[in-house]
Amino acid sequence: MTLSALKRRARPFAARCAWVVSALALVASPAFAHPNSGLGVGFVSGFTHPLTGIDHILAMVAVGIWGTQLRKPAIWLLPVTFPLVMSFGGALGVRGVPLPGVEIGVAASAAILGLMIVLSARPPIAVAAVIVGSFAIFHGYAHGVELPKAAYPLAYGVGFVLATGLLHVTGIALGLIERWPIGVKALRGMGAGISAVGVYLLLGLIR
Amino acid sequence: MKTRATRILVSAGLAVFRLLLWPTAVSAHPMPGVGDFYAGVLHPLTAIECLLPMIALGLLAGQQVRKSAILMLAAFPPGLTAGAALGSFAPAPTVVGWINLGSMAVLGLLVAARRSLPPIVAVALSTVLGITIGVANGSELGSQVSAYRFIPGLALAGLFVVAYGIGSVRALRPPWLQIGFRVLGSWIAAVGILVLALK
Repeated sequence: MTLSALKRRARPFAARCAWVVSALALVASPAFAHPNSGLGVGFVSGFTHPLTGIDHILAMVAVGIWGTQLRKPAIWLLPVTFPLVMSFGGALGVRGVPLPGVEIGVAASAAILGLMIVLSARPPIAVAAVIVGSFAIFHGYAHGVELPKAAYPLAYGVGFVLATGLLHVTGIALGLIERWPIGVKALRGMGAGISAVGVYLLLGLIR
Repeated sequence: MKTRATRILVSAGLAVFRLLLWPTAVSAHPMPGVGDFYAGVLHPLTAIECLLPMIALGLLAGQQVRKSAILMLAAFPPGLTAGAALGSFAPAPTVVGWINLGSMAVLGLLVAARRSLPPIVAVALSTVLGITIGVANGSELGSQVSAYRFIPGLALAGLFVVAYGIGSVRALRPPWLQIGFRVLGSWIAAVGILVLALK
């Protein structure tokens, strides 16, 4: 490639970078513009809630990875149904309906979903949906009980649904390495790791 | 053609995003320094309970056949106008807030299910949402803001959001993006259901 051709290509890229940087420069002030409304505080507390528990992170990423292993239609069915079932669990948490063993359910979900990835299990789609859905209730409940305490419940809800969804997307993106033979092995390794952490947390809770 | 449409959509989206990042845009309700027309434009865009159902409506309209999509787009701004005019006379009853949250759940679910609706139902949904969101916005007008400037701004913002939803769903054809829109619908529904449980 000649130098001039290189320059031609570099220019739009540089313009785009400048655009992004200039847009980012505007971000700082609005994020803190609302000290009274609690919008930012509510969003941040909702967004960080699913990200502060390793059991939640691993289980959500596992849902995405398992979805890619299950292939179509699970790859889209799981990320569409999960938030809905999770919101049902969340509603139980918001209303304060007692649900025993929530933490055990969350840790068990990481252990079992990790195991599914290791085995590369392909049960019928309905079975997979029930497995994932039943765990979604526990996850939703755990976040839902915090919602009434939030500064701005709606922003908390947006943050928490967004964070959970992005963890699924992360899992799906990781799962795309399945197209290479070494990727298949790597995914199974990740599944083993997720499962091991889940079992460890589970033992800690039961003991 | 397709790539051109995609490019236009992306740059328009970035422009809107950039506008939302603008400090004054987000300093919200009484909006000093922004004219009444722009206050009308920004008011629904800066409130989650208005923005999310409108996005869901736009995505739903995009998933419909062409005729229903156009009817939904056409029905929404008049609904907003009527609702805001009603709302400017009296404070919004609390049920309006419930309906807006409920519409997040209903419209989000329909987007997630990718249901194609009879045109009558589609237009009815669009009109009703327009009225309830209009009431919610119009009732916050206050005496210093001119309704004659605020309400056209509101209607224009609603038109843009729904048009943008339709354009996105119809122009961005890759299957994974179509799934992405459904996922977005399910996220909106989930937020609605969660907050509705609080009431």
